[in-house]
Amino acid sequence: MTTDVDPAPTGADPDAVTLRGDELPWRSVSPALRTVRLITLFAWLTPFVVVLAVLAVVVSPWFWVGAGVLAALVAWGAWLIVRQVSAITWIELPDEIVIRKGRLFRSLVSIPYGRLQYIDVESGPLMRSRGIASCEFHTASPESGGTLPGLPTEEAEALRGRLAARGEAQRAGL
Amino acid sequence: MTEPDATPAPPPRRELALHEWQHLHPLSPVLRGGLVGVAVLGYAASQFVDDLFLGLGGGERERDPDDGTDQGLREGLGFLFDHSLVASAVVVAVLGLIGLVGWLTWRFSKFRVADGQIEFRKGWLFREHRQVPLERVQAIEISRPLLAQLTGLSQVIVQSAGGGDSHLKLAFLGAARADEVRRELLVLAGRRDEAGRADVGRADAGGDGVPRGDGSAAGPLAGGVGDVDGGREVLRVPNSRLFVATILHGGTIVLGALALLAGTIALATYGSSVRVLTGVVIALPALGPLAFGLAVNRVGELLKHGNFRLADTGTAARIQHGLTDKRTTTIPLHRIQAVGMVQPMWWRPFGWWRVKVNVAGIAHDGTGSSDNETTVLPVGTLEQALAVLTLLDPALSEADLRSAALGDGVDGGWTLVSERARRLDPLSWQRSGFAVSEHSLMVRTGRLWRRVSVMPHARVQSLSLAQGPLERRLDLVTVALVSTPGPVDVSIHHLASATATRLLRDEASRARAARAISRSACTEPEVPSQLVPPARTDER
Repeated sequence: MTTDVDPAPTGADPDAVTLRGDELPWRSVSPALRTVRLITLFAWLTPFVVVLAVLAVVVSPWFWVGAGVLAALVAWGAWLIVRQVSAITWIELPDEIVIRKGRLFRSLVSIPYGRLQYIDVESGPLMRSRGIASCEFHTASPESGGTLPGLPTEEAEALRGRLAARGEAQRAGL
Repeated sequence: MTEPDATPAPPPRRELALHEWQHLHPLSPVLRGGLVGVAVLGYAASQFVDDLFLGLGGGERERDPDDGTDQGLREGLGFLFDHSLVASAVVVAVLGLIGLVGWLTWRFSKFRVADGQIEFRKGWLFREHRQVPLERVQAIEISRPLLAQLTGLSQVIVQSAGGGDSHLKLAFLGAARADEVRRELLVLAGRRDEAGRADVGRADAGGDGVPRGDGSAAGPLAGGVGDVDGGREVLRVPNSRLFVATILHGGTIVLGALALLAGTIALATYGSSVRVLTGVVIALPALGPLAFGLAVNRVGELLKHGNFRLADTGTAARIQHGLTDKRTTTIPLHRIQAVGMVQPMWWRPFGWWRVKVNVAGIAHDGTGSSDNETTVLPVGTLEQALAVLTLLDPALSEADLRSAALGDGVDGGWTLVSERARRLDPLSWQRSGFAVSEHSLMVRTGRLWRRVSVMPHARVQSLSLAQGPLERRLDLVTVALVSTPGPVDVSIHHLASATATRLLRDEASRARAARAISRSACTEPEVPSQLVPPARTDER
């Protein structure tokens, strides 16, 4: 049931929502999200690597083991972030928004507009500095877990406006 | 302070002027402080008895000099006993202070119903003013804790859509008055939607399985709304059966097997029964905490579900339960989001089932706190379970449910999980699956531990797919229909990915259609937008 509030992009065929396929014009999130997550990761772990390296030089070469393990961990985390951010895709269909996430553990959540209770747009200082925000979609169930991290701020706000209007038009009771 | 309440000669229902500020029962501060009071009294009494004995025993006091503070306390009390005038003055002052605080608490706690909301004020230094809009009221319960039962009082709990913290407790009112208040609130809160919904429910039962608000309202049920307390008793659960069912629990069985095993081993190693006995006595403390925890858990379950009675009021299911803490829960039928029945392995020889529901606004926390009753049948035969399920949702057919409960294979319109799931689920891959009716989606899983979940299309909150690495290799997908929080989980593991994709698409369109119908059925949304959280102001 489309509404005259703000019709969702047409041409999308809801028949083809698949867990991995690319038949629909799936949209990915801003690459800035990758930067933000990488910065967070490095900010947390590099100090420890540095401390361990210093200890290795000053106290005992055995600390190189710890530093090496930690560095490997950082590298693995960075690889994971790059893969995961590129795996987040989403699409606005006529009646629902669909978000896909994850590579190894793939998940897809489809939230009908009529079920949206409210939408949170959040952005921390780091995300703000990169001009992105994260959108969280709340239904009556906390398990729905629809989060769309890393949208450009103005796009997130526009999305919230659009979805809130559509949600209001299609709202259904519990 | 003990002026009689309004309990004698209850006024006619319609004249229960709830729009004016009402006070709670004067005894309520005493009862709320009950536990603390009992503890203090107990401590004082034990001290007193102690001192008495010490006094009788004469010089024994010197024998215990190691505990300085205790000594000081005793000397202080001794001083009080020596100077009875001072003692009585202190006691009177303390009692007076407690009385004053209690009186003030009582004086400043009041509630009313005005402008479509229930308001409750309390507090004297720190004021709290809580409002719950009547249209948000999900259920109204009456609860009688042990102390309240002894004094003939009850508390009224108003549950609203905002989750646990937005509940409103009117503690305490006289039992008869609590019933009146509850009835009146139900009528006020339910006059609009409960009555309207009843017709939808009947139309539902009437055949085509799709809720239809075709305006043929004002059926015979419209007049029955006020009569919430009546209702036809559907079933009682005998306490003896509940007892057996409660004992038959994974934990007890494992513990029993463990004890048996230990006994046999001990017998084999030592050979003589006397030494076995000593061995058991030595081993017992190791199992002690485990057994104690289990016993507490089981007894809690028994206390919670004891004296279980289910009644049908036409628009709601009314549950009375509790051995010591008697509770009445009313679950309006149209608030039920999903229903499910479970048969643990240990209940199979008896053919028993448990029926649970997800209800909007009754949050489910794993602790199973008695505030949130979501069990509509703690233990019953399959016939009873089916009767309860069809009562809760008249659109369900008993035959379908029976095939969901006991059947396997594709008979009866069931779509099974993929054959490739055999490697992940060797026991139940021929049973697990789903079936779609015009009204709802049914899921059955488990061969040893049978589970059935049913969710009407109109209640689907959102849909999700998930796939782990193992499932990916076998090209399988898990589909979940997300409901409001509750014990019923509607998900199907290991469907073939093509089936899963199709189910996602079909269920989304079915849910859309069902929502469109229920939307046109009620002109105004049943639940207002939650962009506005439940009002709750703290005037500090």
